[in-house]
Amino acid sequence: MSDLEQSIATWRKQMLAAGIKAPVPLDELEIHLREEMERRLKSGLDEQSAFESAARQFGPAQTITAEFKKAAGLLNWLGENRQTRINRTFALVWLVLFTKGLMGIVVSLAGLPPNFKFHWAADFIPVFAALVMLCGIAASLLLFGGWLKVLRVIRDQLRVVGRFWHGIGSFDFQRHLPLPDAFAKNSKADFG
Amino acid sequence: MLRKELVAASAEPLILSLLAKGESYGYAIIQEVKERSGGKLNWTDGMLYPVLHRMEHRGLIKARWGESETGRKRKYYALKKDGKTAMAKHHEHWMLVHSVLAGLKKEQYV
Repeated sequence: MSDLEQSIATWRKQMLAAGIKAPVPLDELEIHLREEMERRLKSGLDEQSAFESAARQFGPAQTITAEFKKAAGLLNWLGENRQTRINRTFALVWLVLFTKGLMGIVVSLAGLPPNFKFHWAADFIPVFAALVMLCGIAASLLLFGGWLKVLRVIRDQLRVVGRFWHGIGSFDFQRHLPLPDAFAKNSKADFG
Repeated sequence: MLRKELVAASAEPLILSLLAKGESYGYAIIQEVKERSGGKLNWTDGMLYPVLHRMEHRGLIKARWGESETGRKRKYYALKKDGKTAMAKHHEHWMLVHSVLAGLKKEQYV
């Protein structure tokens, strides 16, 4: 690995350590850093100076992380206008109900002892979730009118659910729930 | 050099107005703002992205991953309908401030 690539790798590590999430937005930040470095290289700076000045221009990692945290606040997530907020609230409610229902069905089918089974009513929760989703669509229609909006509401709600799952998938468990060293060593041994 | 608070307050309306011309990406947005302001609006590069992500969460803009002419991966941002509405509001507010200041200057109070 060249010195420049080594410097970029160290910069990425510093950003990760400060709490910037990977791959998004860290990849986006690195692409920006590389473009700025290229511009500085073209203006006649050597590689190391181009990297250092571009990284300085980027600002401190802690400040950027703090700004990203503000951006991820619930009110920002809920959206700018009333329709978006309604769609996202209903999407969240039906996602929670649907997940709970599916878990109930899976656990019931897995044949676990009765004590471990979810309540029988859990099997019907997907139906409630579907009803909640329909209510969300109906509420949006009543408030904003126009049957064509049904498709937009469904699309928005599915998109919210997709993003929510993606968020769970990219959750950094090791950073937020760090394992004790001994456990980490044993895990490594178990998995070769 | 402009005050930090003014730079921060102007970020959203400027981004919305630049994206109204067509989709763009972070680096190009910063360069265009720098160029148009004659280097006086010099954002700290890393601070642009939390603003872009916040605007995306709020449904003002949308993002997609694409490629540059040289094949480099890039995240492109585009204005959404809510963003157009927000931009119109921003313009109205900034024009109001501008007209009050301009009026006072004309009367030589500023």
